[in-house]
Amino acid sequence: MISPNLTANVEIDGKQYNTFTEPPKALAGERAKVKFPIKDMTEFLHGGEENVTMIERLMTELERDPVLNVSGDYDMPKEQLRETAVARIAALSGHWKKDTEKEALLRSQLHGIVDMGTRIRLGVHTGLFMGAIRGSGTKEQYDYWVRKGAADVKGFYGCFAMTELGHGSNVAGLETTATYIQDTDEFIINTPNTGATKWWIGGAAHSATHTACFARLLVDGKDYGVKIFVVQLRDVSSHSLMPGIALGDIGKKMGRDAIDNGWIQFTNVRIPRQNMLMKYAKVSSTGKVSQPPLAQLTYGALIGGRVTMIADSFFVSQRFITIALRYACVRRQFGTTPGQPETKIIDYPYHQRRLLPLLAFTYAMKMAADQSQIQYDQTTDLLQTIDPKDKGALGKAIVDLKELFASSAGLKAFTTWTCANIIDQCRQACGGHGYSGYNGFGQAYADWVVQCTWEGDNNVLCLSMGRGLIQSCLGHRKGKPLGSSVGYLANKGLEQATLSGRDLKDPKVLIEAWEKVANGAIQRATDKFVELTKGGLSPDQAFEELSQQRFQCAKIHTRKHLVTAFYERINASAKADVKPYLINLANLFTLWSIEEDSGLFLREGFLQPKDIDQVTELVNHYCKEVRDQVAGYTDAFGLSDWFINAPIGNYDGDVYKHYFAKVNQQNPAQNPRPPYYESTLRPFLFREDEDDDICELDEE
Amino acid sequence: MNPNNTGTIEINGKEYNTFTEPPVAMAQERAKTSFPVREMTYFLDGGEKNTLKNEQIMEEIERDPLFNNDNYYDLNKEQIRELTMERVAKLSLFVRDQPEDDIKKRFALIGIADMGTYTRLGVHYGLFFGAVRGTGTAEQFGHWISKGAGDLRKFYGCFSMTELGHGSNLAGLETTAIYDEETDEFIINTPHIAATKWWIGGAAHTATHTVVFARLIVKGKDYGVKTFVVQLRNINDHSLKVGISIGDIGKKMGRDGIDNGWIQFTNVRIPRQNLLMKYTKVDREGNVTQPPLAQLTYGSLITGRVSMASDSHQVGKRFITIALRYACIRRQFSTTPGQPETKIIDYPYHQRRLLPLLAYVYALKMTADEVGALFSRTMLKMDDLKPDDKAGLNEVVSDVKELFSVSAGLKAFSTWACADVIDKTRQACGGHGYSGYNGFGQAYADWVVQCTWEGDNNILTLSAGRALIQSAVALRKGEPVGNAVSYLKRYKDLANAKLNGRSLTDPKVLVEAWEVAAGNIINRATDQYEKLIGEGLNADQAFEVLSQQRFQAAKVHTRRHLIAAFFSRIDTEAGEAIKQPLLNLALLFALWSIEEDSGLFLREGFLEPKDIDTVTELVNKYCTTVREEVIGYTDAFNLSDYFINAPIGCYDGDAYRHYFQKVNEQNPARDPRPPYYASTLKPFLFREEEDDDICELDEE
Repeated sequence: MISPNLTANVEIDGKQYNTFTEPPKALAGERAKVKFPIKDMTEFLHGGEENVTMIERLMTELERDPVLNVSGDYDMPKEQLRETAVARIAALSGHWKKDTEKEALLRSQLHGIVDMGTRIRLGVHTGLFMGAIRGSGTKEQYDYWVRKGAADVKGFYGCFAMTELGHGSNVAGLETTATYIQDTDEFIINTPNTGATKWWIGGAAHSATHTACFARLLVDGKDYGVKIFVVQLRDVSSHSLMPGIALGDIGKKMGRDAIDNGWIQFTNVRIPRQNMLMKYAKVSSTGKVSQPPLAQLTYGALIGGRVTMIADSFFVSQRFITIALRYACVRRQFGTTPGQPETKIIDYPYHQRRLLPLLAFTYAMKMAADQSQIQYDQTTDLLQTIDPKDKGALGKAIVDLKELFASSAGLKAFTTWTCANIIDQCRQACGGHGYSGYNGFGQAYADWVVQCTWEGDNNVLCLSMGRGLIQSCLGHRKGKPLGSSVGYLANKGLEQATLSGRDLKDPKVLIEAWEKVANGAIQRATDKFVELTKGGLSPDQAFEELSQQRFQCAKIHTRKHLVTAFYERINASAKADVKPYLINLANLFTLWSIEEDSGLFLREGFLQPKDIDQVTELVNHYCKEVRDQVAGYTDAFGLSDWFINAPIGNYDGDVYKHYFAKVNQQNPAQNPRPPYYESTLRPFLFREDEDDDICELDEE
Repeated sequence: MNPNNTGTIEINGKEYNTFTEPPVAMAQERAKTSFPVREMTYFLDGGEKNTLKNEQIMEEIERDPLFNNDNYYDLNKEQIRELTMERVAKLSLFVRDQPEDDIKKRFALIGIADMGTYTRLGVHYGLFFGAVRGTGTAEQFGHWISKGAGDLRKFYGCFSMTELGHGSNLAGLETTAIYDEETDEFIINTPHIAATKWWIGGAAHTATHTVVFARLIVKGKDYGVKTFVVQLRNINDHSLKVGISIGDIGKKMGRDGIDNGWIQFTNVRIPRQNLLMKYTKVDREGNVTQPPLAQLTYGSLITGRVSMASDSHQVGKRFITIALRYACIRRQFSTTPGQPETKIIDYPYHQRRLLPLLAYVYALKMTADEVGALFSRTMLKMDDLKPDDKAGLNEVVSDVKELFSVSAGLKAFSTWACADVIDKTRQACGGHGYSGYNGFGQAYADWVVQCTWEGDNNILTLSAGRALIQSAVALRKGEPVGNAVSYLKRYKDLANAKLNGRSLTDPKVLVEAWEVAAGNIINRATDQYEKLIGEGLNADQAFEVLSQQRFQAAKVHTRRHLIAAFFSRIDTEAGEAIKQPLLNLALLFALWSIEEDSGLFLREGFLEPKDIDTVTELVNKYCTTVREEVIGYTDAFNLSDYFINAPIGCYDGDAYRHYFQKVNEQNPARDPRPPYYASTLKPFLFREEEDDDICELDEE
């Protein structure tokens, strides 16, 4: 028999392979090209050997636990996912006693790579409810709720009732009321209209016994704004509803079916005064209200979530960029030379451009995430140890907090968007197989994208950050000190800076390029702001007018931040054997970012039109460099097949074998007739038309 | 007491709250529309007659209880597959009785409400039937009609093209069809697992027959991939024919209504007459004749692309309507203390997020119609062609080539634009965009496969870019080129054209701007191409080097096409009453497109940096203008609440009422305990730790 299709036969080391058998061989070949020690790259990514050891241990513990087995998840309907999530939380609870805070966070983040639903089902209690109690309650209040079972989720499950049907981002506009009744020393919690129904409350539909409810504090007819109150929702022993509580399931969502999001209405629910969380605002038994000296302090707790989401963007992105790049190393498509084997798609310059900048972006996110985490830990430590009477120290802490608030806003927005984009682009780069449920892209996209909306809608965060940047610039013009992340606004030299023949591969030049365009955008927006306010607009009106500019400022500043953090980390901790490979990635990231926004650099005059050609050539150059080592860069993420959970992205590269096997395991071939053959299909295929004869009329 | 001033709004002396205001707000917005909405609908539909026909069909769909979509978002894969089959059965009745144009309209309208059914029917009528008609002889077509293929009786066709290891590269498919001269049969065979037919819609449950793409091998010679009809199942009992293996490929990202499957052929014998022989023929002696012009065989592929451009408009309009209606009734933040919160449509930034997309959705319709008309004319010419008319043949081949490249770019960028519209409009609805009941998640998951199938968008774009460079090469040699690229003839003018103080609101100037950008990119890529050829590369290699340039060329050329078609349709068809409102949209689209790609225009020197400020101001201005009439523009799409199928996007604007009601209908509040309370939740909440006492050792 003749060989029907020469293009599919590939000879490697004298042996013949076909489309089905070649892939593992091809990936092994890619792996053999790697010139740097992967272990050193992994340690660089995770901040040292000790961290890597911890991560590997936690990953093994997760992947060996049979309750956490995710191999059937893609076929699970909502009901089953919801029940499974509780079983998984129960399995995870065994670790709570011994885990340090760091281990607990990492365990949860790693688990979130493959099971975002369960992670947040638990997170509504541990992150949101407990975070609220810890962040806004007094020490006694915190201890009280811990005694009730809140710390180890025993006879207790908390949720977080913030958003309402009619209000989300505008927390200050929430309408649920908490009216103080001095006679009984109680608050009455009430939902004034259906639009004020608490909505999206994760844990409410099935699990929660208690909630941290955001409601307007009303005392003697005066509205003190939104505060937090602990309200019991269900009777602990029977799980039946407490008097005055109505709640329901909000049902089908785009993703995260494992979370039982619900709605809650309060009808004159009475709670003791002591259930208001009183670390900052306080109400005495005589109805005296004291407000915190600095409102900013109460928002500190929100930053924790954002900082975690920057890291999550990295954790999830690494999974999908690994899948798409491994697949690209084994998939062949079209031949440029007749008679020769088809080309691996990773060898198409265009395919490299689709994926490799995203690989570099994934690395960049980790650097920025780690930097933010360190800043966050330092700032929160400072706030906890600070003497509230020490005005100077408090002032400094608040400057740090404000800066972190702003930088974490932009990073949260752009990293969560980037991760969504990575999942989506990687899916498309895997062609049809990216659309299969079993390669995980669809599920992950549907699960992930809510990160762009919750804990601060990305657009709202960007606009608020843009406002902060203009305010910093204004402050600087008035002689106030600048925070370190916007220090470049004081660099007068940037105004005149141009490339002037310097080397576009020099990190210093590249950082300067980004500082120049960020500075230009912010200075111009600030000029405009000054002009508008002089023209009679209030600051709010002027900021509104400048919304597009604010968004641009936040976008450019955040990209500059990512670029800078990448190079700084390389300088600070890259070993010599991985350093050049990291520089290649960082340069690819930076130059590609310039190419994507070339209008900025032309407009600011840092680059001339001909320089753009050079940028494009350099992006092509670094794509080639990075392509060569691509198996190493992705292996360095250290994800086992369990975390990949996509047969076309397995470590061994045997994609068609694993994929075919997976599809058949999940859909065992049995009857060629569908379940509805007798009821629907056969009657249709064998239908007979009724006679269409028409009554004859005796017409003249 | 009045708990929340911001939530209370007085309109015409009556008080409304968050819950009750929306329908009143919507009515006010609607009253602002200054143009006749009906006339706009006629313009969009291409005349009153089409509008009336659409309305008749929409009513027929919407009133049919089988098409009730109340539960649509809560159906699991098994349920939706069965329902889809029932709907297919119903629709096939119309196919028998109605003119082809009405059927097309009906299918396209079904596609707005139920993409799965649209495609499940499409695998037979579009793909199987299209292949038999397009590549079979008249006798062959008649034969399969007589077997039941025309009205789906004892017959259901599917389309076996893609394989596990090959998709885009059709020429590389590995399934074989070997001619056995002794028995006058072909033997169809799957040589290895990677050649398994994969993704075959209809295979898992429904199909009795398939058109299979396989390599024609006669007397040991490989003639490349041709199409063959193969029976898969016995008609009477739906059992598999000898040598056929079929499985279900199970869970996908979306389109669960389609029963995609895999097929393996093991030495399946079919009569020679089952090779579709309109172009390639094999006679009894095994003589093979190939068609004179391969291009002619691809004509039928264009049908799908043209209808996908139109589908992008159909689906895009649904989601832009939802997001804009919601934006008109949702309030968020207050810019003036004590005043009601601002409607989100009144935020300039929100306008910028949505209104350019509204303009884009309009633009898609103009270009889809234009290319659709060109396609119909060309197909008519092709059908009328006399076999000996050489000049006529050349003309048709040149038209087909032009259509092939125009439809490639248009399919790619319109399907991407629609995906982007769904995703951006979802984000613009905040959390409620993530609810399953507002349809975004389902639609995104269902839609995005359009970017991959029937020509992967990236590959189509690269191929369109190749054709553009080829056209420029032809022009330089003095050869004729098609209409779509005729602007390249003004190469010298385009190279140095500048704005020179002309008005940026003049459609002619804007079209010129895009022609300058597209012309220069194409010409520069052509220069590079000619240089590479001069250096000794072959055409394929040179095009490979220029992949990024090809992508850019196709992108900019396609945007130019959309803009030119929009202005030209307004010129030729818009009545006075709607002309200005349409121009406002078209200008917004053209200017926003410039702003998005400002680097292009700076680089080509058409614009100066200061012009970019003007562009931004104009985009702001047209956003403000379009915002005023926004309900008119969206009402003109003429979609009833059935087709919208999202409670926050209902016509009456009573978003919270409909949404709250929908959630509660689909998730009736009953037991506050989840179904798994006793089995899983309670044991977890009430778990007790075992004693952790340790055996005491008698150690010294």
